[in-house]
Amino acid sequence: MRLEVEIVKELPRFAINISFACGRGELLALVGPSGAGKTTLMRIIAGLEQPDLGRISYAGETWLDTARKTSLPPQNRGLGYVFQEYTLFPHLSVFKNVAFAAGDDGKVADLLKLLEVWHLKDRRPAKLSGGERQRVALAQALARDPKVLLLDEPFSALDVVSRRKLRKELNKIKEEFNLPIIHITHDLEEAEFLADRLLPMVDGRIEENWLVYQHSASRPQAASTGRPDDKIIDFRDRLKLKLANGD
Amino acid sequence: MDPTPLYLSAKLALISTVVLLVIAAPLTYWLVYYPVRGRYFIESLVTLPMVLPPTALGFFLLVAMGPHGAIGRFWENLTGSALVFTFTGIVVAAMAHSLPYAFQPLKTAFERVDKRLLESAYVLGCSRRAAFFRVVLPNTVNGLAAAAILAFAHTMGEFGVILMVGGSIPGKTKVASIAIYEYVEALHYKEAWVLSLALVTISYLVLLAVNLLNRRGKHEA
Repeated sequence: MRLEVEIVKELPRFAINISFACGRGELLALVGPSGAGKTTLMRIIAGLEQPDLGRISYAGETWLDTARKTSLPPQNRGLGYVFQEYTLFPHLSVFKNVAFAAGDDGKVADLLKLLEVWHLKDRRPAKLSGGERQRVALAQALARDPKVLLLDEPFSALDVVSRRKLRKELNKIKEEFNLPIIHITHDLEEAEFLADRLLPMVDGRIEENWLVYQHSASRPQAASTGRPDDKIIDFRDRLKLKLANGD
Repeated sequence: MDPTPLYLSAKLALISTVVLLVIAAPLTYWLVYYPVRGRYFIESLVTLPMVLPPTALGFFLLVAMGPHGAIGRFWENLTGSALVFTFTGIVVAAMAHSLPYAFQPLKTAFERVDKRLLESAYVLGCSRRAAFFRVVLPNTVNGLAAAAILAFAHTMGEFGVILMVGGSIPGKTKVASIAIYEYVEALHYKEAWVLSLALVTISYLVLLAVNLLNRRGKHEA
């Protein structure tokens, strides 16, 4: 039950050329500076954009295969997607926003309670704070029983306090839903806190030689990655430098 | 004074506006959101009645809707009766003439809908058609209202096209604007005054409603 992604897409400044997999219950963080092609990659996985070449599949089901000219439309991929910007439907209450994708009201209530926004159920999105909106967006994305959850910098517009609270919520969701979760961010601290696996992405490519380490009880550990500890420091320094420069 | 022409004008405006919106809203959605080849050619064609002299448009419609025209023949095969010089005929003609007046505010309103909302709807399992009803229409209520009001007002004052396609049959196709013309021709100024003032009042109220809607729309944006 893995999401497998292998795509190439030519962009004006560089080409996205990427290949990775994400298993159930795994939170994979793609970290990189702005303009690294992270959002385009997410949009391709969601079916909102098409790559030049590539293949995307989940648990043996092909979502995209450019060689066979097949591409499932976004509505048939069964994804949950939390966008960077607020995309709740302004004409609907919080409850109806979540019910938009869910079949039964009981599930909507459960999700709103899980994300601690049940008391806001009758409010319109315009009357919510940034943190509340993203909680509702998370509930909305989960309402459809998604196969895969995509998070495109969902906390980037939030203040530090809201961001920390939402990180904890996300950890709770990860344990409860047992999904492959792809989380893109340019916040290294956030990625380290949340991710099981962290991939640095620069100019459309994963910098594998920058070292990818496991976020587990024994991290950082050279043994499981087969790389020396100084590589971890090297990766963090290089990525931090990239993020600081914003290039 | 006979109030029938005023009643006919209101009936014509109401029916043609409702039917026009049912046709114009999906047409506009298609032109705005789908990668339509020749989009600008189609848009220019839809907007053409706005600049065409009503008599010229009326003449084309008369030919097309007549017994030898494509629309007229189709209608006759379908219903067994003629289309020109009937109330149904002037409804079709009024719709054709008012199409650009409904299309323009709809286009503006649809273009204003945040495309990311549609993408969010697709990812949540909505088809394009469902997204039109569940996301686009509820977020363009002001645009729909403006389109309806403008089409209604334009049809209330319609003269040339209706005269060409419907003639002036009392109780059937003789609408207020045609009645005014005939009253003036017969030097019945009093009746012409009353009908004209009625049309002025209705048109003013309608335009006031559009302006208030636009103001509300700006505040909401």
